Amino acid sequence: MPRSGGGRTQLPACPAPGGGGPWGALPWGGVLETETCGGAAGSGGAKGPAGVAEVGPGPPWGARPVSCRGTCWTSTSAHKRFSELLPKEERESILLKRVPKSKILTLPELRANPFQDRICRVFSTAEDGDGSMSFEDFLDLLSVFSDSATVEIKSHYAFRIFDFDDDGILDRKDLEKLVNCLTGEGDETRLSESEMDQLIQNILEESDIDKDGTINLSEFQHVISRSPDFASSFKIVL
Amino acid sequence: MFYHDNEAFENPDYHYSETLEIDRSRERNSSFHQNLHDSSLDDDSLYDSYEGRSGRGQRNQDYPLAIPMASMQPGFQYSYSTSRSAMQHNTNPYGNPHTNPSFEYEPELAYTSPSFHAADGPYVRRSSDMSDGGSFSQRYNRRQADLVYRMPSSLLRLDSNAETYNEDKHKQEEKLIKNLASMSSRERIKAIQKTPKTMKEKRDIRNKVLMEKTKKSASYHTQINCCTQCLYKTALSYQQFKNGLSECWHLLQFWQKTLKVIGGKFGTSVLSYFVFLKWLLTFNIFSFLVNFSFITIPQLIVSGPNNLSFNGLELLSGAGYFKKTVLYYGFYTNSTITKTENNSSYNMRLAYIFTIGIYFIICFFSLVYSMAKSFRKNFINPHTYSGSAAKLLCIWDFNITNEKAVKLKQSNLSTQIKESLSEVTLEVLNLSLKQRIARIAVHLVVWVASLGIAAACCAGVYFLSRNNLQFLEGKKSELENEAATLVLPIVVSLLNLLVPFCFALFGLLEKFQYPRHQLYVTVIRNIFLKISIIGILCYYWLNDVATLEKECWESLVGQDIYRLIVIDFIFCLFGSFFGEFVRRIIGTKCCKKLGVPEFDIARNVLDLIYTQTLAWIGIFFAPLMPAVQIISFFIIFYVKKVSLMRNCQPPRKVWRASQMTTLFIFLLFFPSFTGVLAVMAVTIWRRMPSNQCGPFQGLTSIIDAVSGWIHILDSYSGSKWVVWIYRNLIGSVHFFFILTVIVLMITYLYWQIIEGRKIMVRLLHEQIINEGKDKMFLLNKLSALQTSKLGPPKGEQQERSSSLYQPSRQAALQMTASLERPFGRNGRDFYAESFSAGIPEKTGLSPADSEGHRPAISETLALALRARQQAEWEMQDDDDKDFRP
Repeated sequence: MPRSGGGRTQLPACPAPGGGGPWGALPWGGVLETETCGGAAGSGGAKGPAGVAEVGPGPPWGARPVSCRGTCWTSTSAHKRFSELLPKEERESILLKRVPKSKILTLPELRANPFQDRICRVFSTAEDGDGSMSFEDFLDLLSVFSDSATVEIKSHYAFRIFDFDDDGILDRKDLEKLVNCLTGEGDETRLSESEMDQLIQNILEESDIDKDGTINLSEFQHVISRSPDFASSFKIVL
Repeated sequence: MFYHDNEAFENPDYHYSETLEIDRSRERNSSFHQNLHDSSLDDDSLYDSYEGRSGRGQRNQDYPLAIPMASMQPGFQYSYSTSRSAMQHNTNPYGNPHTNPSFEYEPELAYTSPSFHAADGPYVRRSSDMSDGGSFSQRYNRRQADLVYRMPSSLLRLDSNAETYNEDKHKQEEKLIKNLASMSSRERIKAIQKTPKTMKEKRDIRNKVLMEKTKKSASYHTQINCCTQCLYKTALSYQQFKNGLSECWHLLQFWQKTLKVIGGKFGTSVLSYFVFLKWLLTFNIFSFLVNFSFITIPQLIVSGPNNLSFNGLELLSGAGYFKKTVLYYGFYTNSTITKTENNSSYNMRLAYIFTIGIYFIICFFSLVYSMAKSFRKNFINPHTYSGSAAKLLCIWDFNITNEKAVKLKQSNLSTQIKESLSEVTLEVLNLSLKQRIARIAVHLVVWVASLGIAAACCAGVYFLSRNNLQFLEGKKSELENEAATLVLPIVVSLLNLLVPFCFALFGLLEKFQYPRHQLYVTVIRNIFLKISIIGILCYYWLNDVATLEKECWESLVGQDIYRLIVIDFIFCLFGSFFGEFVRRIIGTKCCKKLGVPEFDIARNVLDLIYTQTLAWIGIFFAPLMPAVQIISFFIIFYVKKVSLMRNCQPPRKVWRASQMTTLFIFLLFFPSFTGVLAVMAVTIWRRMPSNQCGPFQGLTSIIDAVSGWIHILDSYSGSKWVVWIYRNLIGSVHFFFILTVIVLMITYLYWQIIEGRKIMVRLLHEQIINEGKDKMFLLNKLSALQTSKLGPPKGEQQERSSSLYQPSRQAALQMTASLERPFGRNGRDFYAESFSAGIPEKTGLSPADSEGHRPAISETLALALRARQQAEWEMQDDDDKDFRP
């Protein structure tokens, strides 16, 4: 396996701090950084393919997690953050270890997030579905929530996060859970049953195009395509 | 027995030729239908009816082409953001997170665990082949049907089933890899990056592709010529350089942490203000670097010592000591700076005018670029939702990490939802004529009042400044003079601070249908006020100060602008102290009803735009103005941050950050930057530079410096092209005329394209709705027929029929429940899908070995197809109506 895995996965090489207004997209605004980083994210891969790694498989990338220069600005910091979650004696073999969900959720970036369970569930590759994460899963998470991920990828994962029962569609139950996450579980903020019904009815009316009573991925992406703020708000920066 | 055995529907070639061909060639070819005939229809008895259907389908598919718009395709590509790499990543099935792709090929593992597949949900079922991107829906349905078939069946049946399944998958993967291997490395990386899969799977695919590539190129691989190697090396070093650059860039991101904290506590909307501030700051740093290196450094080399005393008050007034520094225009020399050793010379005049000119050109393009970009991103959708319920799906701001902020946001959302729900039920929009007239009258009165206030402000500022000028001409003491100069900027800043509050009060009188409208109206009034004040000041500078025939009028203007900026900065600090701090004290201690203030994003951004406009104007009169601006922005950033953290609460209302951002960039461009350009043009072409100071002393107008230089160049034969460019392009009216015509033509073209796309979107939307109706109708018919035809069978027959019919119905039902609709993406996906809708009818009902049921089945099918045809005709009639306006 060629080493520079960076390119493959849209490494979140640029966790641009910007709220992502379009002025993030200006020649000397955040954009330069996005673009160089976008390039850099690709470049990890390009380095491989263009150079040696393309032809001959090398050591697995993970063997030297911090080896790529520059491109992995975040991945180094991700590496640091991730290894902090592991007990000291396990830090050497970071790639083989999984961090349990409870530990992952101690990250300040996820601690308060109402969708934390779903995020863990979606990005975890654990066989038993306990939500534990390997370093690669963690990088996957960061890459999806980074600036350089496309809206398609983001919306795809958003859909999965909101799809609470993992059945590939957002039905009324999913929507109810989603709204509950949005409004919080507290008594005073929770919606009453009739309000919830009305709200879900409204949501379905607006976004369920084929009128089958559920929202599927393409309908969801359609909704997303009409709310330009999504890309900047669906973001977690380390 | 199962439809897997039916070659027609599991033929991967059919499948591939459809997706890939379509993906590769973007025309709407009919290859899909061809395939339909060739590979999938081996059942002769059905051929005819299918023929008819697909014929119609084809016609139908072609009809979008009837819209005379050749360039419509890219439009779709954009508006639905489907990037057209060979895979359509956006409709990809979810990757399989739980299974290692490498073991999926081993049949025993796959088929011994059907329950695992069934239980783990669709994400697992639709596992890791991404080759089918384009026809996601189709595959999805097939897989689901597949499962339904599998579940009730015995293991014996299963293993052949699973084998085909795996073979099928294997083939698909191979195809995909071949496909990827044929791309260039850059494309491939992009394509792989864009698949929503885990890193491991991506790496797996990549490795397979690489293996494929090495296999292919093994023959001639050994002899890479030196040219390619060289190319690789340059590419490699370029990449390294880029990486190094981005590394440096990250070091420069000094506010990253702060911004993250702000975003975590206040969300994207407030963050956008700080990002805007940071962007303006970088703009100013750039202009400072340019001015400093090309204008100031050469001047510093030749300038003599400054013998004016410095007493501190100059920091406020900008006069006195600063008069004889590089800060102002008047200090720069008009001579050519020559170093005796190497005889090279530096023409200060040209340097001055070209540096500033080029800076403005760069500004212009970067503004236009960012404006276009954000406009494209945020306003391109022709019709947005009227309601807001669907917005809830993407309303959560994942940036927010602070626990308190999360709680607050949740309760805000909850109140918002409750409010909007109650509004819907109330139905307020039933105004009588009288009420409507009253409302319009209120609007009119308020508009007149606010415009009147703005005009009064302008008049006041103008007379004040003229009087001030006369006052300064009288012989007064130095201190008095300096104090007098501060009157004007203080008044202007006061107006800028107080009048917006006045406008906000007007907002209470007016009732707007949407709060958004109120926001826009307030922004427009405020910007009108600010820009007209700047306008009147410019008029005063260019008409009164410039014709003064006294000392150095450019420096005087520079000083004025300096004072305006500094005083405005001080007011900004006071504003955040009194506006936010005192307000919080009042809100928490005295008057609990008011509560903690919110950060007013619009007002703050408008303030930034105002100061930036001043700084742009000031660049010509005081080349180091960006430095002042940098310092003030830097301090503002921290003050605002602290004030925000201590005093404010996150905004309650949803702020449409990206749309407002577009508006603000537009405002920065339109009245602000274009106004600056106009002022510059008047200064350079129409005003006489002062006689005793500055680089342009002794000329009748500043542009003469350039024309004089061109005149000199004319005598050198080597630089004729510069002269030619100047005469024929820059100095000629015809060129600009032609340029304008071309721009107008392009604009018209794009406008037409947009119109065409709108029609297209509408038509496709109708098509989707009709198609949905059609499908429901068909399915109802089908199930009704099935229940009526299903007599009580016996023995072996019974088992068979239940395994045949029951699942097929299940499949059909499940399909209705979960059909993926790639609406509007474009015609053929749509058709791929409508075809898939047709599949179950056939799959379920025509297994190869159920001879006994044949007649009944074909009858059913014929009926279903007839119904379908009818529905399609109906649809076409509707479409015809659309074409006849």
